[in-house]
Amino acid sequence: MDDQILLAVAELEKSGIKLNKNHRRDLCELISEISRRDGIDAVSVLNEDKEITELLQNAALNGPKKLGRVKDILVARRYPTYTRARLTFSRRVNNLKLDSRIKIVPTPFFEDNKITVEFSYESPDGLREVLKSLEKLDKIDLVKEALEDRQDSY
Amino acid sequence: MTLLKKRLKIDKIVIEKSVANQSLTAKILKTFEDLPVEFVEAITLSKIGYRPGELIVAQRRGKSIKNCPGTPVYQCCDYYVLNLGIGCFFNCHYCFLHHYMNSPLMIFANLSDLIADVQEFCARRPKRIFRVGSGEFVDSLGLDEIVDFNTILVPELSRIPNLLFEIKTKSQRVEHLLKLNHRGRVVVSWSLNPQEIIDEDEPETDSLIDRIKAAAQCQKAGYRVGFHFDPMIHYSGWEAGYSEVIDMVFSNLKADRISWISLGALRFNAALKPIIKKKFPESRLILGELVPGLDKKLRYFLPIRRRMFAGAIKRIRSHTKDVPVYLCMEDATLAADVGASRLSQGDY
Repeated sequence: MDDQILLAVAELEKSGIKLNKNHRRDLCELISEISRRDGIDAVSVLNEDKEITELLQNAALNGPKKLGRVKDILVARRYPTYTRARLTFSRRVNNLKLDSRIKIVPTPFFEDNKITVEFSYESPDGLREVLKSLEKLDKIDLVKEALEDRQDSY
Repeated sequence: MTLLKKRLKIDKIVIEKSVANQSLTAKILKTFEDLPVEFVEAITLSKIGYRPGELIVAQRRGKSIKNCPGTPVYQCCDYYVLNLGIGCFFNCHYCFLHHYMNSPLMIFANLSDLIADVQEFCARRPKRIFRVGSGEFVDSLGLDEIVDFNTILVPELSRIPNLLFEIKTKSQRVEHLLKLNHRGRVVVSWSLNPQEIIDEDEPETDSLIDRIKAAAQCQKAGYRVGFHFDPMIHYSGWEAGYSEVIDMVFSNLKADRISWISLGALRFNAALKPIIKKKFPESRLILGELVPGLDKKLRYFLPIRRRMFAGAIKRIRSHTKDVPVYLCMEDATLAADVGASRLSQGDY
């Protein structure tokens, strides 16, 4: 393992983040790949990211919360096109203001156009409400909109 | 020959006794006359126990022609694979053969059985045209310096009226093909990438211009030719890079003698990622936005693939409307989105 990557991970641990073997492996991989792709050293992947440095210094956040957010930021940097699609999808779903008993799940990584809809109800009235709310879905192609990304990552 | 022998790094020949008298075996023994030879009763792949420096000359048992190992969840182009051996010295960084990195190079010497298999296979459905290629587990031309597979295969397989035999390669070495009787039933095809990708991830293969010159030579000798932009790599400058390659193809070759062009984006089993990292630490292949597909293989996130395919097809269509362009291992929706063909019998 590159010393720079170990140093970067040590930075995280200094801020109170405890890493098990899996976390360590995932973070090392993300940091190493961002560093190589962007041509910056591994420590700078963390230090030059204002969002990361701020949250590492945030005393109000506990270790697990910091870890979760750092990982989210690194994943977004490593997979920018996918992250944009995921956020667009969530935003579109939220804008629909569907009944809270409905869950909309796309195929992992939007690899096809399928959407799985999960819902629960406790009475015939509840079912009617859910079905009424589901009608909002026929006006929008959620996957197509999420994948309409004109920005190339290069 | 010395160069090839050096590249192969063979230090011992192991021959299965049942193929000891085959003419291919004799050719191999002549080529490597200075190497030690061991004759064994049977090569058992399951308990292989051989090492990379050995060249295994074996008998192909069972079916030698199989469906292309496409992925059931993605569209298949209805292709068949003729297995001449396993192993390739081109050593491209993304190649699935690195999964078998500790395996030796293996060549099947009972070529007459392989030919008979193809004849029988095609005879079963005489009204259908079969596309069969030998470039799945070996480079189709890669081993010709040692065994000259194609000097035997081209004249023999081209006798089969409902077969299109595809020789798929990254090699420029086509001189021996030019004088063969191919009867118009052999397509010689090249896998193409921009030269910067060849330099980076296919460094032991022939250059782009040499591949295109070889294709032009084959076309001049009456062969139909094909091109596979596979794997397409998403890199800084990919659009200009692939456009330039496409322009080179059409400025050097006659479009009406190009049988097909396929496009496929980089994809590999997740287990190959650590192998690429370890074996080729400088390679940038793994740094792309690769996510698991429906088949669990890592592939570029869909909008990236779509953009690459659409860009390449637009460029190809600026040169010709007629050459079928199909996608390899993608679904029908994406193919329709980017204007790719569904390769069908009428196309070839």
